[in-house]
Amino acid sequence: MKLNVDVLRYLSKDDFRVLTAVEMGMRNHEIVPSELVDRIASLKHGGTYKVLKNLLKHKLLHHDSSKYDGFRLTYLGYDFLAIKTLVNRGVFTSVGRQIGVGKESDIFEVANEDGTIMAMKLHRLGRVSFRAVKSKRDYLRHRSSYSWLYLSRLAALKEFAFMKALEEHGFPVPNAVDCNRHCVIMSLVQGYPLVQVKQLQNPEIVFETIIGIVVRLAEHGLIHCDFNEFNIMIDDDEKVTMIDFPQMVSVSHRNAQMYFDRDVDCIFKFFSKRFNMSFQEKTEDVDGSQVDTDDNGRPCLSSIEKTTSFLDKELAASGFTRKDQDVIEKFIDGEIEEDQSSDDEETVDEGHNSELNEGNIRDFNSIHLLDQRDQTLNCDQKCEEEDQQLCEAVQSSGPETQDAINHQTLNCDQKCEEEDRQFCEAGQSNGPETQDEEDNHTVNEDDAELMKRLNKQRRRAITAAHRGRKTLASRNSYKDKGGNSQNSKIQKQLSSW
Amino acid sequence: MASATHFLLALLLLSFPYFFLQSSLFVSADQELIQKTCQGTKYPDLCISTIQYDPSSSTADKKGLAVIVLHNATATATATYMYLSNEGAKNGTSPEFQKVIKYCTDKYGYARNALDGSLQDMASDQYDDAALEASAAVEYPKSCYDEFTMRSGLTYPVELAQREKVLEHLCEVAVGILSLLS
Repeated sequence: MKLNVDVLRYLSKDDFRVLTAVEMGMRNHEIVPSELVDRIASLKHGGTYKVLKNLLKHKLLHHDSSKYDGFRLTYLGYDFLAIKTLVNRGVFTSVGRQIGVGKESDIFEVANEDGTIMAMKLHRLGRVSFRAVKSKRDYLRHRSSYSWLYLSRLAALKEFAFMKALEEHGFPVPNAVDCNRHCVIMSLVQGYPLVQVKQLQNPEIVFETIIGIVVRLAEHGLIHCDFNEFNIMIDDDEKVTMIDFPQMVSVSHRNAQMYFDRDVDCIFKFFSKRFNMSFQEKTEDVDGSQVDTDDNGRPCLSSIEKTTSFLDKELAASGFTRKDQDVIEKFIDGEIEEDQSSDDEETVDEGHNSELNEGNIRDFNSIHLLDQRDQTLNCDQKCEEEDQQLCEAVQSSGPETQDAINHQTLNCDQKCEEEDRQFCEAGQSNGPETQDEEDNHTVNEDDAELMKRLNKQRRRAITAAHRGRKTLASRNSYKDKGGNSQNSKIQKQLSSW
Repeated sequence: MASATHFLLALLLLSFPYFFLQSSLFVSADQELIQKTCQGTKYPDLCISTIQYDPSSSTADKKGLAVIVLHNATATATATYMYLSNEGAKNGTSPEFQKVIKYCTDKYGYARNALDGSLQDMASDQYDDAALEASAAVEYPKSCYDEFTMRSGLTYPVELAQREKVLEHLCEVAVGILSLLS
């Protein structure tokens, strides 16, 4: 949903009162009955229904009469509540253009009275557009929509708390200004995402700085979990800033080793590919201390001296409690389990899910891509990130799914680019059927209906393949008929020999 | 010159009662202010007794009076939350009863959080939002009663009914004072 702040001008005090009343009612009800909204809002001169109608017109509320007649808040309504609160606090006075779209967030420019431009990040957990394959079927099956608002609020609070704590410990992160509901205000980073940078003056220094951040985070008991070139900003002086860390976990997490290795892997792969760097046996920490490395010169989590108490001590100050942390981690873990079980039920499970990680789990597109292709499991996180970035751009792309199956032997790096295109198209235009097409050899034989469908698709695929060959052959034969072509000359020579 | 001095003196004398009245309204809460404020609420007796019981009421302005009532309401919600937590932990009760008690505990937790939010709104002079939070705090425990009545074989405990009533009345008193402020 597009954030149109112009509507804010036309909303009265009563409108906001009713909107807030719906929000409060949603703590207790998935769909808030209009009588309850009326009781909480208790407008002096009545007229709650008229206000509700107005809010509905602006898409700040959603009307639901499936179980009983009531309303729930939309993300736009939630955005408006957060923006109004922050404006009242004097944090900013104007909202500008959208400067970014993340997997689960939208980023806008905002400015305060002095004209200082900041970034406003609106968390949007459960957004449908990034969950093309999976979400259209069952994403909200076990969850109420308020959960998404609640979880988005927790994600925002977590990011704000981490940003503040990391800033205090001297990490290069944006300055955390304020937080309300699912919205985080931070300073605008002057620079570009590393993924957009083609050349660096000192790639070695930048690389060491970045790896140093990963190591230092681990020393503070933290793992970023999504550390890649999309989440690293670099300015003209090659100063690095780390952004986007709502998925950060403690080193005591059961999958900490894997997350750490993946973060390190991402950086190594990116620098070797983009800047043709080769790596030494030892990596020097930013502090100058030596960190033990493995055979490939990568730092090892086990050899890093960690302080696990960082989370509890520092984050509580920003209002992010251990309980909140548990809730959000439970959600993420729940997603893993839920996704795996639904894969068993609905799609073909090739048994690779156990290797999936938290960051991937949060992006159902990626999960399905991983499910589909065992040979791409070694591909780095970057591929998935690029998938998602490009998915957004090519959501409306045509049905070129046949091409998707023809690139399985490409190497990892080439695959990234290919898969960006093919799986976005496959996932978004054809949905689950495309996956079935690719995975039909592992289908459960008992499911007759599925088998019938798969056979049909297989036949269609064979026909398409034959058609393709025929076209190719006919084109060649036509060329041969020409007499003057290089092919026919060679053929003539061959026949004369 | 003399006429100008006389005019200034007269102005000073005339404005003195105004300044006196103003200072009494915004600095200290005498009996009159308490009476006047509480008469504007739905339960004046409860309002007066709650405010007078608090020693800080003697120096409180209208906002301070609202804060006193909100603190009392928060304490009531917290006490009921604790009471229900203990009830839920008791042995010998039916699993269904325990399930409903757990449900009610959550509701009183919401009410407590809403009242905490209301106090935070008061701190930033957001009286409208504070009143909304207090109104919401009345509504959450009502679904506890609904849950009890929906299930056959369960009766709504008298103790809980009384606690709910006290919380409801305190919240309504707070909303009444807040409506005078906003």
